[in-house]
Amino acid sequence: MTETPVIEVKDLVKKYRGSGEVALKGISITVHEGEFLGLLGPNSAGKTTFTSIICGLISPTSGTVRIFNRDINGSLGDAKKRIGLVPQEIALYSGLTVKENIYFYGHMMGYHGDELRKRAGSLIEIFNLEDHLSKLILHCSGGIKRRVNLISGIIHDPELLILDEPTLGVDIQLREMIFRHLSELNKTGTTIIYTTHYMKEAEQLCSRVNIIDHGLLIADGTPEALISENAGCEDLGQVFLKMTGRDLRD
Amino acid sequence: MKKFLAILKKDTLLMVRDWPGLAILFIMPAVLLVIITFTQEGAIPSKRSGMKIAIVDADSSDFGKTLVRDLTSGGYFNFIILGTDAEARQSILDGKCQIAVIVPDRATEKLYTLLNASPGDPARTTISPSDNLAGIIFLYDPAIQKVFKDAVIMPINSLVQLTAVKVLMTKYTEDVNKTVKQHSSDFSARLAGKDFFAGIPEFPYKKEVIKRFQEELKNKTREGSEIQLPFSPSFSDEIVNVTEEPARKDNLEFRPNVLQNNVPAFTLFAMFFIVIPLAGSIINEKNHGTFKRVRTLPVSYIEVVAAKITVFLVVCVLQFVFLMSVGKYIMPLLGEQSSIDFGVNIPALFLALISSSLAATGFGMMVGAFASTHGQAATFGSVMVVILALLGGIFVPVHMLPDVIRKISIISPLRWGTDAFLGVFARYQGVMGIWPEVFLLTGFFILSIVLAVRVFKKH
Repeated sequence: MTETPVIEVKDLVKKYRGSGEVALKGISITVHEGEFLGLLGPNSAGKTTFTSIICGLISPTSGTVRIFNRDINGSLGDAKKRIGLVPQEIALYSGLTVKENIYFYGHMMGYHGDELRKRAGSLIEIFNLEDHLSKLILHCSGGIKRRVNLISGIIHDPELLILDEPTLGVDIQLREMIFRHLSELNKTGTTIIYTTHYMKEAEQLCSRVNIIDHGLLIADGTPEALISENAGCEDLGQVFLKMTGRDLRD
Repeated sequence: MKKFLAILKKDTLLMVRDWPGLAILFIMPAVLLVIITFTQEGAIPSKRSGMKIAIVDADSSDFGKTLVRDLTSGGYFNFIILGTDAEARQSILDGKCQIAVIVPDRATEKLYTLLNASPGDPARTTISPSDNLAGIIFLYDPAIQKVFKDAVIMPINSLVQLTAVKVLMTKYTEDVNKTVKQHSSDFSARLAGKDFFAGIPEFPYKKEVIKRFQEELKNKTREGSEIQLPFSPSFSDEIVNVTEEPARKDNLEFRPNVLQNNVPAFTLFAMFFIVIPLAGSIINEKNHGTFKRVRTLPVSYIEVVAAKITVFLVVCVLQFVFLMSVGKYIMPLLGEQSSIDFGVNIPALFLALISSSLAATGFGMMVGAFASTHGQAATFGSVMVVILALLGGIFVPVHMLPDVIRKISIISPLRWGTDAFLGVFARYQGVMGIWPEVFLLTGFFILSIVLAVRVFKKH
């Protein structure tokens, strides 16, 4: 890990027109190259708004966002090629096969021919999908869909990978496989932002954790530091509850 | 019972809060009801319908003048009086009227030739065309469907025949009365003569009695001198030749038929039904998150939208080719006598096809952008296509519709498409003839795409 910033967010504010809701109230976060950042927070804390701005899906109301040392101003431009997104929902084409979906996202990232076959083939092998390539996504199990969803986000070896609850609803075997692969990616230099509600996952995977609540950054540090700084807390889950409270959220 | 009431409450709330669903259930059927009712009214040509009929009286004599008076006083159609048949032809080509009744020069003179014809004279067998007979020409818009053209021409033709009989009988009665008057005059003169009463026995008041007799006889003969006959003697044959002629700019051979009008119109109707798969595909992408995911990829909006448009544009073109092939090859096998004539202006056909396909695709994109469920898109899309088709003259020609509906129909892309296709297939127009429709269709496409992209970005 170096001190080169991949993401620099300063005083980020996002107000939604119409509802008047302020999702982010001046957040400043810097993510360095090679970090594995866990982005935690209760429901409606502002996590999705934050990642949506980083991915260029929505524009901030105010504040600055620099990705790979470039102001994005709502448009990522060429930086899109360096970012991978694995959304929480299975964002795949149900009428296409496993292979067609993977190749489609590969093409979108600018890979074709042998290079694409090589990249896709390697991931297909790692995630053990060889026997399912010609199946329509519509007819695949939840586990296969999750794997294809992940491959589609990493087929281009992104420098920055954003994962939104990639292990939602998956069995322990697949979860372990995903963890293993993400750790390997991180070791090779990929910066990862990992959104999850599973505190154990964050504790196990992340080199650093940010907790967001009510649109504000309320904690920033390594899992170990956060646990030791909060007296009486034995794990990240307890830290999380202590900082965000036990009230139910929207 | 409590469970039932709870479920009832749940379903009621869900229904009441589903505004788009309610709009589909209440507003769209109301719109359909109004438009279909007016359209059905338009199916029977009348003064309420927007159809305009031009009259040209080149005869300017008894027959022409009476016919113009009879037609315009009938109050059944909307008539406009024009000076020459060239003006009438141009008015039809410009879409200002759909049919013209032309009373040629010397029509009255020709009609009166029947007065001197003897029974058995060829001039009396009037069904077959003959130069000796008066003639009427019906000029019509080649784009008008046969059933509607016939529905207008038939009653007018009946009135033409009736007027001809009336004019002829009036003239004949005048001639008869002239002769009778002459005979009456001769008879009166004879009555005035003194020798008329010769041989009558003497009587003290003989002179006064004879005078009274003379006066009474004069009165009796005078009464018989102004005889009017009924106007409808039992003529079984038409006494005026009727010619129907499509209005054309040039003299190319042209035989309009039902396929030439219907196939392009219903192809266009089918094209707009692309709204269902296209909007469905967009809703799938929105619901499955693929649309959002693609936006994070290094690919521009233009590429994403253009690819989708291209696919559905090709589908529209294939629909056109398929339905045209059905019209050309399958319909004759099923006994249809007519056939589609492809001897049309190809650049104009290409433009009409592409602009219509773009408009249909744009409409589908827009519905897909605004709708949030498949149900909304399918119901709204299909009902809207039917409404736009009704307004667009797919089922009943636009000029047959009442004024209000006809004015509203200007906003229907299906009307522009129908006009463009009929321009190419029925009126044999070139690019210059259909450019306003091509411009509107393309403009509608651009507007739809701009709106759709704005909605996509907003979401």
